[in-house]
Amino acid sequence: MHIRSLYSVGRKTWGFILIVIVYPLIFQNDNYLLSLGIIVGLFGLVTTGLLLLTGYAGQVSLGQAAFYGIGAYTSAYTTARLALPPLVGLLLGMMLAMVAAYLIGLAVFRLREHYLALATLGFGAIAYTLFKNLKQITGGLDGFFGIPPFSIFGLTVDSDFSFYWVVWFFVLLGLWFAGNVLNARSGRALRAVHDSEFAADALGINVFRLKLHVFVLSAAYAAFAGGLYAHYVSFINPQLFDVVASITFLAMVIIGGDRFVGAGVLGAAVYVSLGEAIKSFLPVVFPKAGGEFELVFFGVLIVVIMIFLPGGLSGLGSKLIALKAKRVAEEGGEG
Amino acid sequence: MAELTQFIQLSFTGFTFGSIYALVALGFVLTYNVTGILNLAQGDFAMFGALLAVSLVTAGVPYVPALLLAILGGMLLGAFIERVAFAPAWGASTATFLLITIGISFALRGLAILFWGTQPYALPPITEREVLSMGGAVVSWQSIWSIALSLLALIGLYLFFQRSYAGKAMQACVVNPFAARIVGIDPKRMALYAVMASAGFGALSGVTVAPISGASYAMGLSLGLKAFVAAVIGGLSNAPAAIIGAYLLGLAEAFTEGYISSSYKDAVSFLFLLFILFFRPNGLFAKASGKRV
Amino acid sequence: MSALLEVRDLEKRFGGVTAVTDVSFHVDRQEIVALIGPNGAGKTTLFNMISGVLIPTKGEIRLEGRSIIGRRPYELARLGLTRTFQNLQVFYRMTVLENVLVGYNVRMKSNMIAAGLALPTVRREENEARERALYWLGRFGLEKVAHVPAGTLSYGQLRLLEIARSAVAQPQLMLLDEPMAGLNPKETQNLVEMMMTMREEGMTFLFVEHDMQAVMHASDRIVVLDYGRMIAVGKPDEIAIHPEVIQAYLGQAYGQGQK
Repeated sequence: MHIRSLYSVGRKTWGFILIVIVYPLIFQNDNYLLSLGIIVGLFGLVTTGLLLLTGYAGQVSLGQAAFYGIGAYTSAYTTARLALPPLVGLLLGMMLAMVAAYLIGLAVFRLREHYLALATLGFGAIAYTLFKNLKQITGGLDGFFGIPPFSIFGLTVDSDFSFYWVVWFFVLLGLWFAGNVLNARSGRALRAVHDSEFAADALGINVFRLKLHVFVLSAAYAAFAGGLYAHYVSFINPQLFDVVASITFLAMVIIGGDRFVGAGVLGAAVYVSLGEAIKSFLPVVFPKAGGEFELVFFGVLIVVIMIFLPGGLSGLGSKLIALKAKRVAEEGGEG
Repeated sequence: MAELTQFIQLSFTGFTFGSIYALVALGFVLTYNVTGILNLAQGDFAMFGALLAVSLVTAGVPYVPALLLAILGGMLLGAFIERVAFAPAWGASTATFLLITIGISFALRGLAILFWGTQPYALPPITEREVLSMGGAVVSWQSIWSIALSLLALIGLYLFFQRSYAGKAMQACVVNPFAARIVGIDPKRMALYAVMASAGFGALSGVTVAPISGASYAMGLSLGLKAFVAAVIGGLSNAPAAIIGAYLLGLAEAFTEGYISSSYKDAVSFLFLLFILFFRPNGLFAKASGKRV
Repeated sequence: MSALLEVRDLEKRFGGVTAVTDVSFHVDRQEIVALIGPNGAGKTTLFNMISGVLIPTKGEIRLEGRSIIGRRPYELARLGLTRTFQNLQVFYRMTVLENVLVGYNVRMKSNMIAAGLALPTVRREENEARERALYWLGRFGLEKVAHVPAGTLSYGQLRLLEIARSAVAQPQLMLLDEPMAGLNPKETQNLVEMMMTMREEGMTFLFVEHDMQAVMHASDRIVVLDYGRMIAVGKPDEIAIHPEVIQAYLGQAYGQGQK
């Protein structure tokens, strides 16, 4: 496991940070590439939170887009209608999402593992319905127009170039936080629960509370990203936050894998780039093609990865290790 | 009197859709019980069956054979998926399978857009006769067909499990795969049959609902989701309960749409879901078990 | 002096089947007590009741005089009762060191937020935990493989790892579920010596085992189950000549081995 330790920042990490910093400098006049970088960052925030939940704790959530949407609509409403500073909106959105996650988790984590998937599915659908129908607040299906750009301490951030820095500041912050968690007690507990809930329980880990906390944390990440997103696009509508979006986030986490804390960002980057690549190259080969190829491609990719490469793109060795270990244990003793 | 009419009307709609959901839910529960997999792509079998039927009918194939071929096609798709995506992942965790079925659902939907585009298609109903009048309410024959076919399928499944060797073999696999293998039953083969049958039920529901609400690439998702809710209401392992759950769901949706507003219709199913998960996680009909797990 | 662990009139029924009935014994501090019996005698059920996995249908279980029935395993761990698993529930994808660190979780306090913010208290706690974990790895001879994924270890090493993982939090009572299963004689000998050394340092053991030589060598007292009932309890030499025990199964395995 190449988890960055609490005390040293390795070369890979500096390399990553370097890329993050250099990217916009190289492409500062290319709004398209800058916007891709921004989107990767925003999605990367969501996926980092989801990574902790699904990649490390092994709990599948099909409702992250709902938290993303809660963050987005809260930011939209507080800044456009209540004229509050964006940071307030962001924090408020985070808190709302965390409360929702807490309530869901309270009920669900006492049950069998797949119930989280179903419950978050249900929650996502309900959130979507609320986004559609609470027209006074959200604008309904017509969408919410006129979200002001992000501003902090009075400084407005209205160019893609500057917004990139804002987003990636938070992404790096989020990665730092997540990495710290993974390297410490709670993080190890998370991974332990994923490998063997029985043993974790027997060693004194309150599995229920752990799952609850990490679920709430993942909701916080998603909501924060959603709030930033709202400021970036200035117009949002419910379709952005439906179950397909949730599944897409999950797909990014699957693609990225779970071998290191930045795998969520990796997954987001791969997903976005592949998506763009497919969109640009495919019409050359299939003139009538559209979004469906993406769906098929990613669908097949998910299946292939889940069967052959559960560690995602970020790691190939761990499944082999787990398989070998199981074989050792089986051959070793009968008891 | 108008209220009664509306009530009957809505009830019929509820029963109709309930039957559709029941078919999909049945397939879902069957797959889950025999293989342990929660197939989030279950609804896409319905989509596939419906669209395939549309193509066949458009190509000139006579109606009933087209339906049967569509169902067969669905079963073949199920077999393909089972062999290619489920079997290789044998022994993986619940979460892994969940994600695999999500991937399959993505891929199926994409393929559907590829072959059929995004526009909805119309499938002619089973019998062309217009409508039936019941107490002032207007009921289409297709509705009656839906209900009838579902009930037939259910009875058929019941008889299959209770009377036939294959059915008992499948039950054995669920109860004790190890013992089943000793007796010569192959759980992997049973898994294949179960998924094929589930796909068949899904396709059947697709061709049945298409004349009522159209066939398009997106229909699978909502059908699938409703099926889960029905299955969860039934406690996931109890087929008759899932069917009752499906009917409850259909009725609740119909009444919500009629009496409250159609925009909240979708939320109903998920409210149901959350209610069940929070208060009766073992299903509406389960006895509370004292086991701690 | 009251016993550390006290089990009284314990019974467990599963529907119509009575797996364990009328079992009473105690374990004093710094005792090594073995739980033996033929297959199906109910040892695992009894073990699972004491470790909080199953709830007894009748009877009492007391740790330091207080009832622990109904307490979940993680609560028991916090009270100083840990267990290992017969089928090895090692965290395969984590490193050896991390496995043992998880064992120490119960004595650590920092929560997720503090950890995320890398507060100084977290750093201190982590350092302390690492020291302890490495110390215990050293005692079991695993310090060289501290940073490899646990899944690459040999079977014998995995067994030791599980025990180190339980020991690091300095529990009062360690429940070992067939700790010697699959170990060769030398490894078994090492483990027995380790147990006795730990006992000198204050540890108490209750373990289930089939390896009769090890049991005879390591235990202060032995509890024998057969068909869910306790048929004997006493010192090894008493048990060795106990007619019912010999009849149950001991005669074949032990008698031949010893003489």
